[in-house]
Amino acid sequence: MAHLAASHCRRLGTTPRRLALLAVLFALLATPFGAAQGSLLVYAVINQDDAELLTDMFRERTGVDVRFLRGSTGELVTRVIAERGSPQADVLLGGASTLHISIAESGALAPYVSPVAAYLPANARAEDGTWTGFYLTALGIGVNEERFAQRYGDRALPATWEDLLDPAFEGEIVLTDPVASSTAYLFVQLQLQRLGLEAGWDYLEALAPLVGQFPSSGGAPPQLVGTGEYTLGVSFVHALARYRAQGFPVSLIVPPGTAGEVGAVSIIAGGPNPDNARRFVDFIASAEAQQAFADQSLTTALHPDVVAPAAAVPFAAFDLIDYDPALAGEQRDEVLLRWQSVVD
Amino acid sequence: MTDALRRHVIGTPGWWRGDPWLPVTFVALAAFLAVFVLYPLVLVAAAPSVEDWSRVVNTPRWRNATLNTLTMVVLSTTSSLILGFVYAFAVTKGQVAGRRLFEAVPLLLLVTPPFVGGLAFLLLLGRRGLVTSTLLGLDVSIYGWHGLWLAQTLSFFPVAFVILRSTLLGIDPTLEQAARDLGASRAQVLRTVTLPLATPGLLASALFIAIAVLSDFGNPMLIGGRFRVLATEVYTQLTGWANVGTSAALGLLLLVPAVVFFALQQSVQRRTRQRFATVGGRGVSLPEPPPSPPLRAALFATCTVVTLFVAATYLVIVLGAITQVWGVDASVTSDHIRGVVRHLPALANSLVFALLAAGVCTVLSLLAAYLVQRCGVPLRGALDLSTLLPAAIPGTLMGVAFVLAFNTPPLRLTGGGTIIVLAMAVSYLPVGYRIFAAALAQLQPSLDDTARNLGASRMRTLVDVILPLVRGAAVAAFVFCFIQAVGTLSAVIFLVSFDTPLASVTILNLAEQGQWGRAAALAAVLVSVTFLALAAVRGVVGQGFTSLVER
Repeated sequence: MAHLAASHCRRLGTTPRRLALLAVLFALLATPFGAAQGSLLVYAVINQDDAELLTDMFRERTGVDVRFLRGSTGELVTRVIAERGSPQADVLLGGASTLHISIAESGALAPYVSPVAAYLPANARAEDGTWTGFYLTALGIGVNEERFAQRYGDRALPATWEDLLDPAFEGEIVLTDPVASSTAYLFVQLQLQRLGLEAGWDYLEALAPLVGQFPSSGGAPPQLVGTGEYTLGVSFVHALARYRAQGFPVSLIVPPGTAGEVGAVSIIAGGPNPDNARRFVDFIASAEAQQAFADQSLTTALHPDVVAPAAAVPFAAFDLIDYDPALAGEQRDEVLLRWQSVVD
Repeated sequence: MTDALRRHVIGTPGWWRGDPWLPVTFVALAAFLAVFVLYPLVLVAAAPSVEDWSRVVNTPRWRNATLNTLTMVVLSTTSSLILGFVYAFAVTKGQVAGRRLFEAVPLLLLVTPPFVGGLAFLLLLGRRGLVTSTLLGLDVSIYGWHGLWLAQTLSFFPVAFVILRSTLLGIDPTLEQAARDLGASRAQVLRTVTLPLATPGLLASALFIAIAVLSDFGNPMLIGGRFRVLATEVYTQLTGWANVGTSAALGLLLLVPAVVFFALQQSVQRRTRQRFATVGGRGVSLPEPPPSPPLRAALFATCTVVTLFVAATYLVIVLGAITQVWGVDASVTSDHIRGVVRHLPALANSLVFALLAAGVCTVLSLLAAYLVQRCGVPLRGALDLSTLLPAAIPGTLMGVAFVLAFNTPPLRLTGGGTIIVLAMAVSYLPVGYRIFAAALAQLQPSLDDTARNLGASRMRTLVDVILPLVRGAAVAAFVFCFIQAVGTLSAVIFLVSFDTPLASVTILNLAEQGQWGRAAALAAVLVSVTFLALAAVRGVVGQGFTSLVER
C-alpha cells in the first residue's frame, strides 16, 4: 500500500516530504479565528507592558479571559467610532479624559458609575459615568544631560517654557506634531491658555522654527531625547521618568505653569461583555491596581491610598494652570488649522 | 481605431467560446476586483467633503508636501532603479564572486519590516549612530530629504532587483551572443540588446518603485524629520485627528501621479511588447565571456557595500535583542528573547496570513495578467487598471477603506483573519500582476496560438503551456508577496483584532514605547521564522528563494 501511495505521489510530481510540508501548512491554516466566551476585550492606549500588567492581574483575580489590543490613541479612537454599529471591544483603557468626552459625544460609550471609584474628585470622572479617571500626568521638558553638556557646557538647564525660545537651541528641540498627537495638542493649548491667544500664538510661532523634528507619536520625544538624537524634548513627565529609570541620561524639568491630563477608562456601548467590562472598571479603580500601575508607569495614581514610587515626579512638583479641557475641545479644528498654516 | 477601442471594451468577438471556464474565471475575477478594490475605493472617494478638498488645496503645508513627494519620487525611483539594475546585472551577468550570497541580500532587505530597518538605520547612522558617532565621531543629522533618499533607495532597490533579475535571466542569451558574433562591443550589446530587452522589466520596476515611494510612510516618518510628504500627512490626518475626509482627499491626491505613471508605462510597454517578445522555443548559447576586470571589480564593490550595510543592520538588531538596555546598559540578557513567547500567536498569524495572502495574490495576478494580455476579454483597460490600482493607494487609506467597506453587513469581515489576508493580497496584487505581465510580455503570442490550434482551451493553455514557462515569475510573485505581507504594517494596522494580532504591529508598538530589546528580539525571531517558512516553500515547490527564476 505504502509503495503504491509513494509511486502515486511521484506520478503527481510530489514527494512524501513535500506532502508532509503541505500537511503542516494546512494544519497551521486550520487554526481557528473564533471568539472566546465569558471574556473581556480591551482596547489599550497605555503602553504594551502596562496593559500586560493590568490584564494579567485582572485575569488572576477574576478568572475572566481578558485580552487586549494595543494601539495609538488616534488609531483606537478611530476604531471605536468606526465600529459604533458593531462594537468589537468592551473597554477603552487609557487616553486623556478629553478624548473620552469626545467619543462619548459620538454616542459610542456606555455610562457606568463605579462604586469603587467614589473617592475620585469631580474633575476626574464623568458626571454621567461615561468615563472614569485612573491616573494623572503632566507636561514637562526632557533634557539629554550628555548632549546638553557637550553642546552648551556649563549653561544652566532650561527651567521655564520661555527658556526654550533661545535661538541657540535651533534644531535641538523635538516636539510632537499637534495634528497627530494629543500630547502635543495639549502643549499647544497650554501655551494658548497660559499666555492668552495672541501671546500664545507668538510663543508657538517663535518656537516652531527651532524645532528639529515633529514626529507623530507622543512616545517619540522621550525616546529621541533619551538616546541623544536631540537635546530637548516636550513630553509627559512620566514617560521621561521611565527613560531616566532605565538609565538614560535624561533630566526632568516641570516648568511652572504646566497642564495635566487625567487618563481615563471607559466602557464601549454595545460591547460583547458588558458585565465583565464593569468588573474591569471596578478593578482599575481599586487601590491594588492603581498601586501596581503607578509603580510601573510612573504616572500619579488617583487613589488616595497609593504610595508614589520613588522614581516618579511627586504630584506636589506640578504647578498646574487652570486648564480648560472643554475650551481645548471646542477650539481643536480652528487651532489645528491655524497651526497647519503657520508651521510647515 | 474605433474598432480597436470597441474590441478593448467589449472584447474580441467570440472570446468566450470554446472554454466554459474562461467566462467563469473572468466574471469571478471582475467580481473580486469590484468588491475588494473598487468598492472600498468608492467609499473613500466619497469621504471628503467640498470643504475638505478646498482645505487640502489651499494649505501651504500640503502644497509643500506635494512638491516634496514628487521630488522624492524622482530621486528615489531613479537611484533605486540604477542600484537595482547594477545589482541584478552583477549577479546575473557580472560573474562576480559570492554571487549566491549577494543574491540573498536584497531578499533579506525585503523581508525586514520597514520600520525595523528604519530603526536600525537610526542606530547605525543617526546622531548617536554606531557608524556616524562611535566610529567616525561625527555629529550629523540624517533627518531630512538626504537621509530619506538613502533610506528609500535601500528600501526599494530590492523591488527593482527582483523584477530585473527575472527579466535579465529571461533574455534569450543567443541574441546577445549573436550581437557579439557580429562584432558588437560589450557596451554596444548592453545598449542595443540587453537594455531594450529589459525595458518591460525596467518600466515595471520604475512604476512599482515610483508608486511605492509615493505611498511610503515608514521611512519619511522615521527619517524625514521636518520634510513632509503626502503619505505621512494621510497617516497623520487619520490617526491623529481622526479626520477621514482630509486624509482621504490627500490620499486621492496621491492617485493622480500614480495614474499618470501607469498610463505612461502602459503606452511604452504596448509598443515594446510587440517588438521584443523573445521566448518562443529556447536557444542554447555558449557561456558568456566574463566582463572586463575593472567592471567586475566595480560590480563586486557595489554588491559588497550593500551587503555590508545589510549585515550591519542585522547585527544591530541581534545586538539589540540580547542587550539589557540599548545605549545604556550593554550587559547581555536573554530576557527579551524569552519575552517573545508572549507574542507567539502574533508570529503564527503573521506567517499564516502572509502565506495565504501570497497564494491568493499569485493565483489572482496570474489570472488577471493572462486574461488581460492574452484572452481578448472585455473591459481589459478597466481590469488592468483595477488590478494595478491598489499599488497607488497608501496602505493606511486601504486599511480604513476596508474598515469602511467591511465592518457592516452584508459583507462583515472585520475582527477575523479573512479581512487581513484579503487586505494583504489586494495590496500586493499589482506586484504579482506586473511580474506576470513582464514575464508574459516575453512569451510570443504564437505559443498560445499553437496550443489553441492543437485543440487546447484557453485555461488549458494557461495551465499546460504558460504556467510552466512563467513558473519562475510565479515563484517570484509568491515569495515577493509573502515577504512583503509578513512585514506590512500600514494596510493592516486598523484590521488587527483580539484574535488576530500580528508581529509587525506588535513590533511597532514595542519600538514606539522604547522597549527596543523586546522589539528587536521579536523582529529577529520574525525574520528568522520567515526564512524558515521560505525554506518550507522551497521544499514544496522544489526551488530555492535565492534562485527565484529558473526556466
